[in-house]
Amino acid sequence: MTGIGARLRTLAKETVGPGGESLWVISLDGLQKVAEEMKLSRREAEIVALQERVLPMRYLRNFGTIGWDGQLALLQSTVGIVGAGGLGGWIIEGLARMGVGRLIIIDGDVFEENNLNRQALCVEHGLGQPKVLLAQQRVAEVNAAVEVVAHQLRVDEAQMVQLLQGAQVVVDALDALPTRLALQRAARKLSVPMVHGAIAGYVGQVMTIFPDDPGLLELYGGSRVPERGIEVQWGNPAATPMMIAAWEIQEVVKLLTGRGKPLRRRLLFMDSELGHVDVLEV
Amino acid sequence: MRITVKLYATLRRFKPDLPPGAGFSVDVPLDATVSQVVEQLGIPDGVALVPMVNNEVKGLDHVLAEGDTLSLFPPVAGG
Repeated sequence: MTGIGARLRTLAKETVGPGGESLWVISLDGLQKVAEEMKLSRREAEIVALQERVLPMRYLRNFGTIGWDGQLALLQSTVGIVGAGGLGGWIIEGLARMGVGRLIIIDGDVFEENNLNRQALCVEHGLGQPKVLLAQQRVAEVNAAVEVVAHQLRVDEAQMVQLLQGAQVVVDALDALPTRLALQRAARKLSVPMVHGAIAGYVGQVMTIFPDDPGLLELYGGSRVPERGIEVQWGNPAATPMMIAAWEIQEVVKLLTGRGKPLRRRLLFMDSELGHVDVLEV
Repeated sequence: MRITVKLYATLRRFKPDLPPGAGFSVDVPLDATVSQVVEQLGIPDGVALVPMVNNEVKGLDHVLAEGDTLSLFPPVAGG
């Protein structure tokens, strides 16, 4: 055991893991002490702890599904999220709770009153404030180990390519079709997968698109690309973004940990009004 | 010839009594295109939709074949 491993164990406690095995866990206070002593960021301290097989307690309920390697992979990853509204708010919250180490968050908007019904980051005292600012604050409250790079900007394809450099996965949390097509092209240029999600009324869809997949460019790339979809008539009630954001979070986690089967070339189409989900091979 | 049609989300209103996810058989003229079937179903011109034939995205001018499954989706773009 290394010196740091021994030090971590003096601050940790031994417990029983999900499989009945011995498991060392360390509290937030313990991690903070280690970070200060070793002059590490919280994220670096958590990474070192995991490498020394001491589990940050905050990830105990992740452990049974993603294990040591999965948690390390998440903490060492960067995810780009474009949009911090209905989908983006929940996605940012979920990825921070899972312990994705670095989030690049892009959104040019400020919060408006009509966001309050569904957007996780939108609170009454935050109206008029930039969405990325409240996103950054929320992540700091939820998981201070997560580093946020925030850009308050409406981005075009070239800016997406520039600002999303370093991300292993990009997440579509946008609200218009043309910018989604631009994001897919940007993800292609960056050679990273993109997790697509979109909502309208009781309906939503999810798909994970790899660089050489046809994806949205095939779905909407024809001559008649509307800017908006049926959400214009149906609106966006509270639960739909939560449901689709949850699927998107899970897709990101699967991609980063290398476990499970992403919704690749499969469009999950949910109609929660009917209680029906189709997964179409596309 | 006979094809199967599936309608999703808002497009269900053009065949409202079907159980969730169910398709229905439609008799269409030989070599009918997607847009001819869309018209036959009573879906007006201006309604935006994405047609898939046997799970592949196709244009409105795609010519259908006996036994094809035509799925029609509305564009969903909120976030």
